[in-house]
Order: sequence, then C-alpha cells, then structure tokens
Amino acid sequence: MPEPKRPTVDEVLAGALHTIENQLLPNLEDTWARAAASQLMGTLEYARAIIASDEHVDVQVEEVEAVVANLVRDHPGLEAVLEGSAGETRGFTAMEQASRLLSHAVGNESAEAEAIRAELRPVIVQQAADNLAETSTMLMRFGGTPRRVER
Amino acid sequence: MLNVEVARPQIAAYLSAKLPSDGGVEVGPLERITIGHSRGMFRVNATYRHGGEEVARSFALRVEQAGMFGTNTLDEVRTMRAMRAAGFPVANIRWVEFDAAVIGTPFFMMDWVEGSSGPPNEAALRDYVTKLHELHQIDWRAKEIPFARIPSVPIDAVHQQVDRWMDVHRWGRVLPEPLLEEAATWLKRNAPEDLRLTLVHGDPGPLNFIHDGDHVQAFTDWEFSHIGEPNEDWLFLGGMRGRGVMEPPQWREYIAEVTGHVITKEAWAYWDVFNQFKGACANTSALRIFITGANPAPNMAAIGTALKLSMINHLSTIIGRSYAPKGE
Repeated sequence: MPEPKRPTVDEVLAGALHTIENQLLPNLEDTWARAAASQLMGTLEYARAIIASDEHVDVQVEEVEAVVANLVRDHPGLEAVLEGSAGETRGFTAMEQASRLLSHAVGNESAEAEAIRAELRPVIVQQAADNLAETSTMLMRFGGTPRRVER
Repeated sequence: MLNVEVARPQIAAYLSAKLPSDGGVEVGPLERITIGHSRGMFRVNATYRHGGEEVARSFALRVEQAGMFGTNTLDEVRTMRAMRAAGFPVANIRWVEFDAAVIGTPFFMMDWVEGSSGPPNEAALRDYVTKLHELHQIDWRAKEIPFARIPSVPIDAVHQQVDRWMDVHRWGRVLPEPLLEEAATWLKRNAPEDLRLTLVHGDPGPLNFIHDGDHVQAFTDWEFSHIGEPNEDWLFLGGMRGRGVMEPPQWREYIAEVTGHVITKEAWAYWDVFNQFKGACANTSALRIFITGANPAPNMAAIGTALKLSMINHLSTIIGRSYAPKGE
C-alpha cells in the first residue's frame, strides 16, 4: 500500500473545518459571512467524503451502459432512439442515451417502454439518490446554521 | 463575483456621475442583503451635498452573477418598469448599467424600499396572496410588457417554459440528467387542458416581497416572470418557497380561501413537478458558475449539486407514481 505524504488532504480538510467552526464562526457577526462560512464547511465535508470514496462517475456510467446494452439487445427497435447520441465523453454518451430512453418511454405503453421503466429507470433513480446523499452535507449547511457554534 | 471592497469606490464614482452633488458622493460600506442567490444584492448608503444641503439616500444594488439561473438584467428591468408603470408595487429603478467597466458585471440600482422581507404577519401574507392573484388578473396584452417570448395559445406557454429551463440546464450541466430529460417530455405530454395565459411572477413567496406592517410594499425578484399559467405561481408559493410558512395542503386551502382560486389535486401535482423541474434546471447553472470559477462561493456548489438533486428526487417520485399501475 502506498504511503501518503503528510499531512494528508483529509487532515488538511479536517483542520480547515475545525478552524472555521471554532475560530472563525464564533467571531463572525455578519449574517451573510456566517452563512458563507457554514456553506464552506459543507463543501469541505463533501470533499472529505469524496476523497475517501470515489471521485469518479465511472461505476455509474458502466452500470448505465450495461442496462442500455441489455435493453437494445432485447428490443432492437430502440437503436433508432439512440442514433446520434454519441457525446464527447463516455459518461456523456451513457447519460444521453439514458435520457433519450426515459423520454421515449413517457406516455408510451409498448413492451420496450415498459422495459425501460422497469430496468433503466430504477437504476437512474438510485444513482440520483446516491448522488444526493453524497452531496447532502452541502444541503445541511446551506441554511447557514452551524451545528455546534451558535451565537 | 463582485468584490465589495473593490466595488465601493467605483459605486461612489458612478453615483457621483448620476446624482446632482456639489462635490461628489460618498458611499458607506456595502451591506450584503442576505436573501437570494440569483443576484448579488447590496444596500448602498450614499451621502452628498446638494445646494449646500446634506443629503443621505439609500439604494438597492442588484448585480448579475455570471449567468446564474439563465436570466439577465435587461429582461428583469424591462418587466419591473412595465409592472411599476401598470401600478403594481415594484421598486423604482433609477439606473441600469451594462458596461462591465463599471464594476465588472451588469447591475441596476433601485430606490431603497423600507420594510422587511422576513416572515410576514397574517395581514401582510393575506395582502401578498391577494396581490399575487391581482397580478394574474392584469390585462397583460394591454400593458405591452416586453417579454422575450409571448405564447400564442396556452399550451405554447408550457412548451416555451419547459424548453427555456431545459436550455438553462443544458448550459450548466456537466453530464445529461436523464430524470430531467424525462421530466421535460412528461410535462409536455401531461399538461392540463384548462390552461390560461396570464402574467406569472415565477418566483413568488416569502423573501421575495417587502412588507411593512400589514401591507406589501414591493414585489421583488422578477427575473423568472413570463406569460403562462397562474398555477405555476401558486405551486411555487405553496409547494416550494412558502413551506416555511405552512405546508402545501394548508397553502392549497389558504389560496382558495383568500382568492377563490381552487386548485385540483391533479393540477397541484402537475405544477409541483413543473416547479421542481424549473428549480432543478435553474440550479444547474450554479454548477457551471462554480466549476468555471465565475463565482466559486460554496453556495454555488450546494445549489448546483445537492439542491438540484433534491428537486430531481422530488419530481422523479411524482412521475414514478404516474407510471404505477392503477391501485398501487
């Protein structure tokens, strides 16, 4: 296992969070500045979480690619829906294809539309929920209320 | 992003050129108005001598933020001036500036309106809801408000607004959001049949109006206004912005009681999805503004990610229910 340089990014972020919460916030009077400091803590907490897990979208992209491939294999007519969907990146292409398929299924009662709703939509909804959970520290801090330091 | 310390002398120089002072205008420290994220809002306290008399005046400075929410100063100013000319309570805009040489970004300055944008009392809330209803009754064709888009028939308004917000999302996104693309199609295919064409404020609710005692002094934040269906406003108020005042079911009853306007549960659900879609698309712009460094403040990161995703979560749940077999 590679040995990290010290202090690590996480240690620096943890120190920044502690400093904002215990040294800066107690001395900030301005409402907007206090809200910004709290929001900054939210982004730093997000940064800590993301460097501890996965900073890339590749896993989600691969998951979508697999479902789309299965749908097209089982319903070849969907190839026409995906025509011209190639984007600049692999991730863009996968999400563009998912977008087109979900839109194609709206108000559509065909078997392929049912398959899109049954197989693709739950994956996309779950990924959105995961992304929300990952960024939720920013939402918690958005109102500007720090957890422990109250005036 | 406006640097208030850098901008202060520039604002003073600007006002010196605009106001009839004997020897220039002095500006006190700019006071950030702690509401809203679409624009930088500041109170500007100016002092100067005129004809030997000491004069003190305050203005509200509203500053663009690099394309936030896909709106612009020109459209907002045109609407506000037209609404004020129509007799609606809107702050008087003194000056509009598009030259980036002044403070680096377009802005406009309004006469300061005394009052509060905080939680209103019951009488002020009732006055606000009554006036919002009156806004929807204005003969907008006669007022010739210069909107960029004028729908010909009601369903056009839905399509125009869905396309407008999808464009904002696509401008701001890093990757396509399949659930927003789905929602755009869903909104077009499921639009109610009994649509009307009225003035729509677009962003109504607490924090976006100034009240003093029991009365509304001014409607603010007009950058989302357009011609469309008034239920868009009612759901923005009752389903989103007004939730700190009361919950959506209570809002539905309150709106009916104050205005006589009854919103069916089906219409409520549709316009709830619409506004969540609108909010999510608008919020995507903050992501671009953050990652390009145009405004690297942490509220931009939160709006462009978590806040947007919470709206996508909300709307995709309602759309998912519409797919469920009857009885589930």
